[in-house]
Amino acid sequence: MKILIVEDDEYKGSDISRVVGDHFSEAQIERAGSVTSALRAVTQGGFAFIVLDMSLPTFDLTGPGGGGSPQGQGGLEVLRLAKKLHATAPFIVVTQYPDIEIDGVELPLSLAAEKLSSRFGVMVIGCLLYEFDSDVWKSQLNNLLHSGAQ
Amino acid sequence: MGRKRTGKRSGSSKDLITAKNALRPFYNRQKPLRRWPQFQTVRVSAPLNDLASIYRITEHNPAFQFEGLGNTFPRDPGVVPDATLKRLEPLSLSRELSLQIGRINHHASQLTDALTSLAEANAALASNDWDRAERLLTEHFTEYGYSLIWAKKALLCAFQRGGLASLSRQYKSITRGADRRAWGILCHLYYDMADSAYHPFKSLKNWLHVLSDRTADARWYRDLACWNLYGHVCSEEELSSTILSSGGASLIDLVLTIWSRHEIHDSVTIKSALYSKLCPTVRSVLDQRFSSISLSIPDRYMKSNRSVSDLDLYRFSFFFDEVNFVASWRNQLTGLLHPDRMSAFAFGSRTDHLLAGAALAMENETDGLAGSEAIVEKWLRQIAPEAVRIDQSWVIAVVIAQFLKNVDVKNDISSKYIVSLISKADDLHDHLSYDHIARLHYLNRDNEPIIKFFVRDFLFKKVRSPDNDLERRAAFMDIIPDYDRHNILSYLTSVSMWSKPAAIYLARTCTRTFLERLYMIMTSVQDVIESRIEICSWILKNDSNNLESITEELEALRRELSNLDARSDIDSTRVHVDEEALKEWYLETQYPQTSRYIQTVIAEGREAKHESFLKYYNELLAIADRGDKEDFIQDTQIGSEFILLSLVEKTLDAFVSDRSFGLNAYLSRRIRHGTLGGFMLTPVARIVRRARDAAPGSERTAATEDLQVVQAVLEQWRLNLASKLDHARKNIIQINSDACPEGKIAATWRNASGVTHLDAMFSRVRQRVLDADGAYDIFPDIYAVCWDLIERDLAQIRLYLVKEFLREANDMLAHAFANLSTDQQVIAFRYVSDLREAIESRVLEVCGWFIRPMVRRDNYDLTTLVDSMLSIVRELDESYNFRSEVLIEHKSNISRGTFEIVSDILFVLIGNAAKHGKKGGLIGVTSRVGGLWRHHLELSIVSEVETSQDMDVALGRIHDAMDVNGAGELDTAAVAEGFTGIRKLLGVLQRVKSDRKTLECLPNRKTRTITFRVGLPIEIAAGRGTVR
Repeated sequence: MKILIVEDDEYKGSDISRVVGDHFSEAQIERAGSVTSALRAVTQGGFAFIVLDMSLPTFDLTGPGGGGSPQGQGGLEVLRLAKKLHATAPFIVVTQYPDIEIDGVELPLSLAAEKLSSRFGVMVIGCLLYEFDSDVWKSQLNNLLHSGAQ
Repeated sequence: MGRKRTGKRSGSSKDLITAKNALRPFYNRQKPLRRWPQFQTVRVSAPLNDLASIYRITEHNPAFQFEGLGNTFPRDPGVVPDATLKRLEPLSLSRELSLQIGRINHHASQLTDALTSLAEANAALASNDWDRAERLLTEHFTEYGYSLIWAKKALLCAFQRGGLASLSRQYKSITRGADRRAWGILCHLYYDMADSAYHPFKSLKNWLHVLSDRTADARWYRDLACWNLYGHVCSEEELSSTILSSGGASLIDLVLTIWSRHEIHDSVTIKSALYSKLCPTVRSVLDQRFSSISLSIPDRYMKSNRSVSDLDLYRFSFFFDEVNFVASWRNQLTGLLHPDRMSAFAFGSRTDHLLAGAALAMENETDGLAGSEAIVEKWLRQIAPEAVRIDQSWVIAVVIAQFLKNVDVKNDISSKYIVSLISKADDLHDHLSYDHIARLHYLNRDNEPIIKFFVRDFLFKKVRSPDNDLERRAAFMDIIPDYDRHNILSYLTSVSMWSKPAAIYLARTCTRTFLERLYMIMTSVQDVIESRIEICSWILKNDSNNLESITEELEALRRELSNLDARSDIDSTRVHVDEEALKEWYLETQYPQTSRYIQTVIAEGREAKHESFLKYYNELLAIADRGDKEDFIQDTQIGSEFILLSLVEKTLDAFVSDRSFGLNAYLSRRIRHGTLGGFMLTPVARIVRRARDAAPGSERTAATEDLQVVQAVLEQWRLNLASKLDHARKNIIQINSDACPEGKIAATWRNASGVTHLDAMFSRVRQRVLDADGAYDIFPDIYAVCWDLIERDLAQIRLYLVKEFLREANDMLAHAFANLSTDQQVIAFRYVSDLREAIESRVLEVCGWFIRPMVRRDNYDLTTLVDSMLSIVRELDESYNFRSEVLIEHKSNISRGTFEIVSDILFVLIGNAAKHGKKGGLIGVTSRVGGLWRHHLELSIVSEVETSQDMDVALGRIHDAMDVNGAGELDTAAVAEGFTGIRKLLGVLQRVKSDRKTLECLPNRKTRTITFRVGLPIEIAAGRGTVR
């Protein structure tokens, strides 16, 4: 099983990797740190899940010339293009803010998954609030991984 | 029969009496009285056979307080058109015509002379005899007063005689005292059409847009303006209303409105009225002098090579469309420009429309385009037979649009032919509806991928949404073989083999921002720069337009590429607007206005005097106080300063609100939705967690209950703080609007400091445009003034954070602490103290996010930056009390990347010096270029401390802060409590990828001063990384 984690923040990415690794001990976890690398990974396909951050740079920060323009809604760019790239994997959005701005409207995370799915024609099974000092998101992520795997 | 006849006669005389009685209240009345109800009664009830006797009573009767049932030859521009008649309701077309022609006939003698006089002026204008035209127009005015048609001619003549400066003077002269009336608006419309620096089609679209926003209450003048712009009406009701409005302007406008469109509308009602009811002398002069005219195109509407553009022909003809032939000629084009208005009434039953034929000719793939061009040429020559060469690209675009709308998808037309047509047309999306754009897919017989791109590009140009942007980029990626960036150039070359315009179109689309988001093609910033360099070089070889800007860009790109190793990933929490994307938006949408501004400034010359915008601002305030709309005053402002104001307002709006590159998008994504919460609450949460995890035995009191109380109090404080932060995020760090009234970012020029910024900027830009003889790029100034205008707002956010947010957070903490028992206070003291320090440090740090980049140009002024940073630090805390000395030993500017880095360095070092240094002490900032390396900037910040003990404390603090190694440790330090700011400085320097960076701390115990010396390359390329 392959799982893609799209996250440019090293700490948050490691936190998520740990939870995913604990849940699926056999899972092969791949990391992408920008919109570009996420979309390239999505094109390859074969992911059971894609865990996606919303705020991403255009390119990997380690590349020549750095990350390029920051894309506050880089995650939305990934979702927007995912359908074109025939991505079938379910997405789980893990963000640090309690709502997501979609078409100028700030939607609470509890409603965002459904809206993102219908808006971009991809399967978003949940949107979670990541808090470094809380374990709530971990159990939510576990639940989503569990239900998504069934 | 006899009774019937008697009845009719008695009915007629009864109506006549009713009509006369309706006007009785006005008879010799001193006080003004509402007119329109009585007028409407007369208009409805007056027997048509008795109009002559009615008008003998109503027209020019000194016993009445009005000139007649409409305007005649008005002497006051404020009543052209007459607002007191605005509530009159139009009647049926035939009755309206009868009533108005009755008035015309009543004044036939004088009107015939007026028309003859106007025709003489017309002849002089058409043959470009401006001196004679001016004399005749002056005589006409002296004799017959104001009319809209006269204003049109007078403004045209002024422009041709003396250019924009003369046009502007004429406008001001003829609208004096009436500039805030409908007259002012209509004259402004004529001004725009006459101004050769303003694209007439854009002017037309702009005015139609402005007018569409007007309420039904504005119909009385809106109808007249639309009539001028469209040149036709769509129904009898609309025509009736327009005739009524023209009657409210002047008799000359009235008769020419009726006359000029009778051919177009091919209406039996109008023709019958004109030929059976109109006085023969009036009709005779109309027939002879207003049926046809041949236009010589004036020099001011010619290009330098003596050719004429179709747009200027269209513009010039606007000033003669009271002439029947010109009106019909223009209407052919209007039919294609506004197909939604296409109706039998609007375009009559005539079938000899050449332009419609030009579109049909395009169906022939072999020589269709050439055939169409020949037809368009013939159509253009009808009105300007003597023009040497006519550039017909705009009309061809309109005709291509017409072809694409109507061509049968079953026709066997190759996709490449469609592509060559599309790329030959300028701004085709302006002429196509969404459905028509989508229709291009069905015309793509050979499934040519480039057509899919054009469709997406047109849709994006119509609505610049993120979805449309991505769709067009996806379509572009699909046409590049193997999604390989190296194939972009070869693809352009292959397209240019069969359609060079198409290849140029693609190359021009590939701006840096566009390339950067070709996710499946580009892998790094370096890829983007290299690709853009290749494309710019290709454009230089293949396209002759705007070579100067491409050359400049190419040089900048090459510099950046060679400098990629000395790069800084600027802290992306700093308030930011994507300057490159904004500039692309600006060039795409504001270019015509910019060009108009520059030409207007040159025309006005150095002697032109401009008042401060304070006066204009006060006028707007007065209007707002009266509860009136600003429309009138805004729509009637003339002059370069108002063109620039409009540019600033539009750019400021995009700067703040654009969803992809604007400030609000950035605040939303990076600050409100991104790092603010985590950054502010992380150290707090860590301290609270430390307290939570503390074992009872580890505390001196060992009282479990007391510890639990402290833990609960601290947790509650953390929750309250989080709630306050949420409030700040959702309500304060926002654009001020009805939905968000507490939002601190007003982004407006409408305050005293905004006016000051505008005045300064206008005078500076004006001077530079004049000095450079027009070859001056005004965008950087507009961009800089956008930052100027929100600087006050950013200061408000900083003040809020320090004076309200931090103060309340501290008060809450102090209050919670004070309510603890003594034993509990002993436990809590360390945590409370740490929390205070952590939150204060974070708030000050966040204040640093809301500092604008000062002067966004290619080069940045260091002196300004240092001065601004000193004042920003001063305002952070009223207890910061220091003197300052600045010595910049060189005049050279710094690059944008260096500017950003130096801003952060100064903020940290000056901020720390102010906070920990001697009260009333000196902070000195010096800089020099050179030292160890060439192109090296050395910056020294020196500050005083009060006592030797303070010196020890400060040095200990600095030593601890600087004692970190490597990225990981620095990142950990950045989220740890006790953040002093020095670690931020280290983080900033870490992002500078250069071997030549240095940081030294040099204490001097004798003078009790601490000097920080920072060395940097003077030209650091800027990138924007993300924050941990």
